[in-house]
Amino acid sequence: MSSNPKAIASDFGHKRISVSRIWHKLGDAAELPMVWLIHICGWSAILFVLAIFAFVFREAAPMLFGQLNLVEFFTSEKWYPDSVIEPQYGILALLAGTGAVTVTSMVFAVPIGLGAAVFISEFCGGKVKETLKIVIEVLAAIPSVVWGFIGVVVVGPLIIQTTGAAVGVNVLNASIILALMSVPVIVSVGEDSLKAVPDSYREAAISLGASRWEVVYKVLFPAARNGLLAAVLLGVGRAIGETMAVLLCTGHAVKIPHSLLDPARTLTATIASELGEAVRGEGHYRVLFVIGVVLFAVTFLVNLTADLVVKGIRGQQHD
Amino acid sequence: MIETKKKDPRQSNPDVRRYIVCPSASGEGQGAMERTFASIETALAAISRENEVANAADDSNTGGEATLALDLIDKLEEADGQRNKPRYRFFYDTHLMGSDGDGTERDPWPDLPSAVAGMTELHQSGRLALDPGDSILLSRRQIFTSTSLERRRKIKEAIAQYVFMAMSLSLVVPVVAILAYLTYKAWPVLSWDFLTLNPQSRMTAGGIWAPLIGTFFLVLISLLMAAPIGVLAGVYLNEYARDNWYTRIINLAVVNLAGVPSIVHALFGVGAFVLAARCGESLLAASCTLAVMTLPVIITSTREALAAVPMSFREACWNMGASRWQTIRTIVLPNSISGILTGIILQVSRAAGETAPILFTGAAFYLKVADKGWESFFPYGLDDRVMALSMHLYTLMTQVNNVPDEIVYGTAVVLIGLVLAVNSFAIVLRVYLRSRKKW
Amino acid sequence: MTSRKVVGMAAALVGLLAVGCGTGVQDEIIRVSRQNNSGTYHYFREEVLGKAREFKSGSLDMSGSKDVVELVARTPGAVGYSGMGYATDEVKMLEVSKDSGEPVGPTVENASSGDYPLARPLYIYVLGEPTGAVKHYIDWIKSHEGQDIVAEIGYVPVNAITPEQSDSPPEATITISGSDTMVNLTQAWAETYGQKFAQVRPEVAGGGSGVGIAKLIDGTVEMANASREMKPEEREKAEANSGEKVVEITVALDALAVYVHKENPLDSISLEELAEIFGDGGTIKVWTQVTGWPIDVQ
Repeated sequence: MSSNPKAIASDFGHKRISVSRIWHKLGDAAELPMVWLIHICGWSAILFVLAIFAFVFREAAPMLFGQLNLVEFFTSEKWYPDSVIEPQYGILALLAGTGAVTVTSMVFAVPIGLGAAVFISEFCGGKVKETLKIVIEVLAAIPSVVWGFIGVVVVGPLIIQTTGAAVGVNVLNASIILALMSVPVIVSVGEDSLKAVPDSYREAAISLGASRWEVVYKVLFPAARNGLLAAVLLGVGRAIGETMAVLLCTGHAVKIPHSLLDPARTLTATIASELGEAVRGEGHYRVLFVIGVVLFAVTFLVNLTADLVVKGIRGQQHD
Repeated sequence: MIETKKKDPRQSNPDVRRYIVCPSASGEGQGAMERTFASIETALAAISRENEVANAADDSNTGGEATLALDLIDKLEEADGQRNKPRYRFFYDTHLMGSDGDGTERDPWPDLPSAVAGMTELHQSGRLALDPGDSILLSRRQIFTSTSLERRRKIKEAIAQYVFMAMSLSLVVPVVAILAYLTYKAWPVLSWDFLTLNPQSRMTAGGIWAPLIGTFFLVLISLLMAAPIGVLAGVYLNEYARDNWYTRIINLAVVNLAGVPSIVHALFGVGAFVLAARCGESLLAASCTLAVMTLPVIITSTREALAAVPMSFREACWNMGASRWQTIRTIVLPNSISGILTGIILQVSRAAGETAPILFTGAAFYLKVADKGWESFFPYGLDDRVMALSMHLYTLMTQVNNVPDEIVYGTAVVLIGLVLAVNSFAIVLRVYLRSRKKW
Repeated sequence: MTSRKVVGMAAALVGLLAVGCGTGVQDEIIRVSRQNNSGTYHYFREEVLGKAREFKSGSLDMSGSKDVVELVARTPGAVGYSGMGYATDEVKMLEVSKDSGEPVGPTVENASSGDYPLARPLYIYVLGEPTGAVKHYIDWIKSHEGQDIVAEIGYVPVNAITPEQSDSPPEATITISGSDTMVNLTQAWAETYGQKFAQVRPEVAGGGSGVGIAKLIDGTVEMANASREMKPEEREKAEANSGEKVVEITVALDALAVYVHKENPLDSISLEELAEIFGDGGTIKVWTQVTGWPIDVQ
């Protein structure tokens, strides 16, 4: 205890009420419930993934284990779910449509995406790099229904003019649009994995006399191989799961496409266009949920593979 | 020989010193055609002599032309305007250590006299056959002259660079062209009125206020639900989770949740919110579905933002006796707020643009919304269906008859513009907050 | 990625494009149809193909009445069917003949008189006799005001009935869903009615007749628009779920028009030919079989 007035005041100072002290006391008191909340939220991702699978599977189950002939389901082209004679649920044409559109879009997107990733990370600098990155972000931000709109009004007439196709909405149209949609994913993940290759690799190669192109294709591609593969897989996942753009751009025809200029129909678009009509609990409704299960399984596998492939990097690189 | 001072086209390349060998000409000429010789041997002999003279004059051997050319021609008169084709190419390099060589690029002669001697020997043994119109080149190989190997590599490098540039441009050009075209077609209708008026005359005129406000509420409510859960989940994953198989599964779940197709989200929304939770088709159900869709990206970006805070900050706190939660609350979260906010705002644009998840969970074709006043800002209750901008575009494209093109393009442009504006805001915010960081 | 792989990929791509963009048969008939949630689809199947016949796979199944017409306008070799109210200047409507009769064009008069073979009633379905705001709304639809709007949109009005009382309806939100063919009509009604009686708020969704009926069965809408009749099974289910009887109200007539590209030299077609074009196992695949000469595709 001192007799200095200022000191006495400061002795009392720590007992003063202040907002920030109350706030901190509240924060401390909330520690236990907050930590519990944090743990619960941490489990939320698993919870939701399981929930999605559970709810979709639940609606699909009666048909899946009931009267749906799985062999016919996967191998028949006849998709007549609301037939007055006898409903037929064959998704072969839909699988072919999804496959054709995905594969063709990847043929466009992978070279361009990887090429752009390499260009951005290795060959250009400064303003060009910034501009390109902005363009890629713009591409990524455009919503899916707008892409569908672009496909119908811009790409469709272009296709008719340049290839003399009979109709402008077809596999080619949807593939071009899907390629433009998947490229940002491939570029950003690809660029990240190229950046992750240590500079020492590049420096060693250059000191041995390699040109920039040789550094890229002899050193970086093998080193970043896993990340690039993951980038491609994620692009594939995006293409498979896309709904609105393909609904508008493929022509929505139940038919196995024999050429790029044929219209087709994808699994996702089928669900989107038919779910509203299906009466809840009926066969058609449940079969659409079965298709949902198939889609979920496929994208799950693709993402799992991408994740394992990326983990492979940690296993291999030990510098 | 009369010296003509006209410019000999052959002499135009100053780096090449030409020796004309013309057997039919008489004598050793001077002048423009000065180095005209009767045979290759005489030409070579002349080269040697000149070299000795030059060497005697000054010791430095670095000047002079790099290449000597012996051109064989038929007639002097045809010499003008003709370019002989190099048939043989020899090299000598005075920097070499060795004393041997055979004149090739890889193994040059060590100096000019030995080069001349080697060429003479080749000529005498008959291995140097020349026809009129051919020429022999003798070059000094400099250290930094590009070899043909190097030239090939340089070409490959240039090709590679142009190919990659072309690939990148093939992205830029379509995007810019498409955006320009859309804006051009939408131009007549873009105005403040377009944004603030409701659709009129069966949606063939007027504006997009009702869908716009609907999208606003959808995004707001879905983010109000997703952001807290996502941020706390990110906190868990970065601060509390240990590196075991359990955490790995959570990470896997986040990645998978991010990759679920949007239509499967819609199926989930119908199954869980519309049916099981009995929300019916409503703003609430649609927002919940959108929340689940935007959750994984918020988790990931929060995690990255938290990871960017240096460990030393946390360690300093722990050293002073703070608990984990106190550290997070007072130091880690405030310092990572920029990254977290950016992640959340970027999801705004995604939630605004998606159509499939709201298609069956709450979007409507047409709703009457008040045109002005308080009502027009809060037109939707939680259990009402809503109009949304993305759905509106789809409706205009497929179902509304006789709608002028500008309105459809206008809706698309507004949607893109909204998304881009929000994204730009997020980036600007991130840059601003980063600049205020003290570390 | 070795340079060989890049070259190989490029060659594959060029090859794919070359094979892919192979010369298509230029006078192939491109069939433009609707998705199976559409009442138009069901009506066409029943009237033209016959009850026991399915559509041939491979038609382009569009989301709405409007995009059928838009696609036909852009595709020289296309034929499609949609409500006559969706006609634009870019397409041509064919006259339709039935059983070797005279071809009749899709006009309001021909639809009213029954001469046009593909005229169909448009329905509103409700559960139980309508009361309150719903009754007021339906009465208004059947009145002169509502039927004037029908004519304005391009459909065929039914005989207008003046409602007995014209007092104000109670405050309500009415949920309506269903036929895409009718959605413009429904929306016009909702807009005009909503402006007149501000306390009632009609919420309109499309989705197709099937969607509307499905929702009526589930009890999530009060009024279902349909461009086809409700099937007996559907009626049973609805009545079982709700305990009320299904009430069917005819509110307009529509002529289902057959659209072709405006450069198409064809002017009329018979129902039998349509069935052979669109139906499963149908034999007509190219335009030469119908017109006698191929379309000059530009």
